[in-house]
Amino acid sequence: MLSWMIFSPLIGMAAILAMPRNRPDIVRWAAVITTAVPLALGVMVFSQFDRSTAAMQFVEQVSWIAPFNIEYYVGIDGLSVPMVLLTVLLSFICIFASWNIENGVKGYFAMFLLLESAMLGVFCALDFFLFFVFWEVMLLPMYFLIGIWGGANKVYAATKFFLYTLAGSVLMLLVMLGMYFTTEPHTFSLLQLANLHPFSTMTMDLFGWQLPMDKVFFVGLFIGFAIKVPIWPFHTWLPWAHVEAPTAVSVILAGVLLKMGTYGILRISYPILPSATLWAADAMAILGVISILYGAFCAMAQKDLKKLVAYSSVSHMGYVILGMASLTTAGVNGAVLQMFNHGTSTAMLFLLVGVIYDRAHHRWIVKPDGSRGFGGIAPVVPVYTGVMAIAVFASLGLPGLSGFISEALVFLGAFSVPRFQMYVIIGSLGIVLGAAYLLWMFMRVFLGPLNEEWSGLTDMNWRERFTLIPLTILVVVLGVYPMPVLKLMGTTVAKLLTSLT
Amino acid sequence: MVQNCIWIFSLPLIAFVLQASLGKKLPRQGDFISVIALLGSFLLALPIFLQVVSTGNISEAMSFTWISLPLPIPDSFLTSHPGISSPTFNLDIGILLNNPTAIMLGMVTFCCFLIHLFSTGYMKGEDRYHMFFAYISLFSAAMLGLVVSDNLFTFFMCWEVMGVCSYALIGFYYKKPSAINASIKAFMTTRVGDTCFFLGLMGLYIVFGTSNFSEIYQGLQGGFAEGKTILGVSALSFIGFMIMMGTIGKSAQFPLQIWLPDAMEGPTPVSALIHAATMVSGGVFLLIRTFPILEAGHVLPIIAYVGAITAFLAAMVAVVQTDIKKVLAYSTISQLGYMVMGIGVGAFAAAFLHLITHALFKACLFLCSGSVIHAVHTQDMREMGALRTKMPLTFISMLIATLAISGVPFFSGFVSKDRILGGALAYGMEHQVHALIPILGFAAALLTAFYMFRLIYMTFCGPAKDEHKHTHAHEMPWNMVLPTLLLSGLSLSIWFAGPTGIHGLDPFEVHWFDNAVAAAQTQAGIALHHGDEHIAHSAHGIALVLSLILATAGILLATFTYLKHLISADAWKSRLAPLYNVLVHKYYFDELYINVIIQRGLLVWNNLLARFDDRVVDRILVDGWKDISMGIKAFIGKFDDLVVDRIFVDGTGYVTAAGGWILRRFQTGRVQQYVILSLIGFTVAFICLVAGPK
Repeated sequence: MLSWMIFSPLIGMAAILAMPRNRPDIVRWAAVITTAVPLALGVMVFSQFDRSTAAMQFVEQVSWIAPFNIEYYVGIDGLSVPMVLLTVLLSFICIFASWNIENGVKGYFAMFLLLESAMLGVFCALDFFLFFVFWEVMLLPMYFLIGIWGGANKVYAATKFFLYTLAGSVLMLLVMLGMYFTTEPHTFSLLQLANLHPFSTMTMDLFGWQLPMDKVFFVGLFIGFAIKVPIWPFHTWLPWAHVEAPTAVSVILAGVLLKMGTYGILRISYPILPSATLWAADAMAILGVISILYGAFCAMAQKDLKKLVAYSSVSHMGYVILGMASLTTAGVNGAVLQMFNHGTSTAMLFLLVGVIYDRAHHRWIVKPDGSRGFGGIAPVVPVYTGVMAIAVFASLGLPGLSGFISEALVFLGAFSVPRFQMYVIIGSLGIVLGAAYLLWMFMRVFLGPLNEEWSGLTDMNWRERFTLIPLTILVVVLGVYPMPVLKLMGTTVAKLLTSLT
Repeated sequence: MVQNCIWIFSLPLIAFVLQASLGKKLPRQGDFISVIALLGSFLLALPIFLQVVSTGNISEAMSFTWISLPLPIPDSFLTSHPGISSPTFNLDIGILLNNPTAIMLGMVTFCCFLIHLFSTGYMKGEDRYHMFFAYISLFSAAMLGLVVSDNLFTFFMCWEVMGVCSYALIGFYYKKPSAINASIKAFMTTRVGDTCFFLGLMGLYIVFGTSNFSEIYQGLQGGFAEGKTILGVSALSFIGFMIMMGTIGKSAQFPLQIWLPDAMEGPTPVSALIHAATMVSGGVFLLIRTFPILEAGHVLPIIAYVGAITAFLAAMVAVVQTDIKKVLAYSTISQLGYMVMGIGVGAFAAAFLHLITHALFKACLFLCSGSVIHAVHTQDMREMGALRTKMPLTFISMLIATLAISGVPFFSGFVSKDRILGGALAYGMEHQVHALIPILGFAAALLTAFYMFRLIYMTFCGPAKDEHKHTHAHEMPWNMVLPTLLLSGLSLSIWFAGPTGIHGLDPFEVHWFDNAVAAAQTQAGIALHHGDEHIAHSAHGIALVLSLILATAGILLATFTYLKHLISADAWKSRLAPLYNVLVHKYYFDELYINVIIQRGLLVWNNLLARFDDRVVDRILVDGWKDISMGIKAFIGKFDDLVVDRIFVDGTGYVTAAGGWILRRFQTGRVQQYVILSLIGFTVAFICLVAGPK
């Protein structure tokens, strides 16, 4: 079933490439159907997934490159399921959000489907080599989606994204090979590596220094993943990529790709390098807090809506890191829940920014010349304003909407670790700042006297509403009752934490 | 009974959902839904309330597990202990129905219902009428949820939802920049307090593993928190201080009081809702619920000072205000200061009583001021006057409520305020270093009587200052007058103590409140240390006389100044010009917070950091690598040119050219080719997978 899920977008992609160039509508509907298949399979996974065990489920394991003991090995547990669900849902929604792409429709949707395939592959892979392959394949469509269908500085942004991520991948590759060659028998299997985790006793010779191998591996992997999250100070590709990317790509980028970094740390670094994890927890907590505050401060200074949302992602992913670093039940569950909830709420924000960009062809809160970009448009576009309000309040952590409970769990977990208490108190400033920049943005764009230039804006059409309704429902339902997602991950997180202590 | 509690807060919540989604399409924009929902809540709350009045005791609870996360336990442990189910980390939520809950439920549902009813008249014909009702219903639902919460976690959640509702309602006229500034100010200021409260909540979980009130009370009695520290200070002090910060934000106490006067930008029923029945009372109710923690954490003296300072400073500002709602706003801050001070000096029951009496008479005052504003279309008292004859019913209601707030016998405010002042005086007499607390409290009592009668005289008495506005003024329809009359009827002391309200003079006395609160204190394990009985007794006697003298003096002073004009207010204004300026500028708190801390501090810092991020982190640290590699490339290029090229002249050139040609074939920039290439790769992989060796 997982293989079908991973590769069905690829089949759709082949079909789309075979379609005539002058019939964009057929291509679009083909993309809809193609992404509906993984979505349906995702629903099946959700209903069939056994919540009471931490073992891998839906496992498929075949030898792939036998001489190197490389396997096609996929399976999902409580960590992957929320991410898989997020991916299939957002991909499906994003097809509709890409409806107004006019140039190179075929190429765009083909790339998009390739991207979905690779993302699902990353979340399902249990073989490090396979994981790495999917991870790298993902870069390619991303590069073109930004570089071809992006905004004014698209090539710069795409190249920056590509090279930055590639730099991280190189580190990951080195660690992967290092792990492979130091284990006996040589293996890429993540589960086997986690069972053996032999690295804590080994040392390695690096430029003449004898260094503990697990810590070197951890740092290498961490930088690779941190670039993806992005954790300060590896975050500068993100505002560029977001600003230049088309709406749907921003949604995928913020909604899914960022989570791969934290997912990778939980999937690979934590179980395979447990002692290094304990060693690095403090540093991670500090980086998490810096990300929270730094992202929030920078977001407050932004004049471009999309950049503001991009920096808010840096801030919100900081909560994930802080929760993960706490190594407590509440903290890690909260972190994974925050990954999911940030995926839905930020996706909403990016979709909404896209809606207004399609109409106004700019996204300035304050134009570079100092005049108001928008202002007072609430009565002109009431539905849009209402949905935006929900997204904003979900994002700033209003109780009753999804962001609150995950942040609360993260803080609860981190605060119960005595040496993190100061970090939590400093980090809690992010709660105040988060409200400040979001509400300030909301005020400057939607409230106040109407900026006459935009008195002719049209409200969201049904296609746009359709993309936002499922996310809005998720944000509200999970805000009131988060157990459907927490239940998925609980057992797995408990087992992960058991292995760490 | 406890099942009814679910409906009590669910009905307004349902009304909110219906109003927000369908309201616009319904007849009368669906305002009846909200009004009926609140009436339903009131009718459900009434038997609960009456049970407390008649029997003096109610104690029911229900709870269920909201979030449950498995804890990490080694498998070996579970297999060796087969009977044990794996332990979980739980967040339990539920309903606690005890005496304070019941009293609050009675007050909140009653006030909210009347405010809803009043709004049907006041907001008539306004834009977004249905959304107004949606918001105030959600507001009421959040407050009721907060009241019935059996734990601090859902308490906090409801608390935050109230914050958002206040944001939406204060900024209801969102085309007015002043309104949206006020709304954002209210939300952000309270958010500072809320964040502290949240940290206190986290602390509770660390110490007690729960935020359930009953369990915390038990834990405290069991000495559960002893020796535990957070950041080097006693855990209870940390928690108590943080909870106090929450109240300071929400109940607009010094130094976070700045948001409340601006909140007057909202429609007047909202002011009544926020400043009487719900939000600000929520802050004091928090102190009541967590009183045992505050006591054990030794933060009560700080709370007493915060309250006393707030009561006095706000009363001073109220004296110079000319906007009728601003006067009431500052009087709210001041009266909340009394409650907080009462909690601080250990006058738990008195503070709680003042919470209730204040809610009733302040709701009445705000609704009356709403009627006045509705009649004359201005909020400036200098343009009013002589409305007594035009709006007799409103005048009578407002006068009763004013007598209540001024602390005149026969009215409710007298009973509660006198007890708080008595408690404060006893505290000051016992701990003479804290003598400032009762002094500030009594000074505020004088000022309160003065500025409230100033308001009455300027609004209802004397000659009409604006003939045009005066001639057009008229009494309000029944749905606006009835609520004010009912509320003023409940501002009599007969409901709370006895006909006169003076202990010992009453022909008969009413004890339900004292009994209920005494029982509540036992439930919460509050063994109030009364100090020296003798001091306490004499303090209450002195306080009674003093507060009577001060109230009379305040009223007389106002009469001479604003009714008889024997004292010239303008002359005093110029005589005390420096003080007057400080008061008009509200002690320059806004200037300090907004101009200095936010504009000069935070925003500058943000811009610097964003520029640093752009110019330094991005351009130098990241893109710098490009420059370095370009430099290396240039160097190698030169090396290549000078050394390699000269030596291996031709051959290399051909090879490079050929290689470049091949690479260019791939780098066409055409997507399809890339796609096809990657597809081929993928397909090969897939084939290997399917057809490869098993």
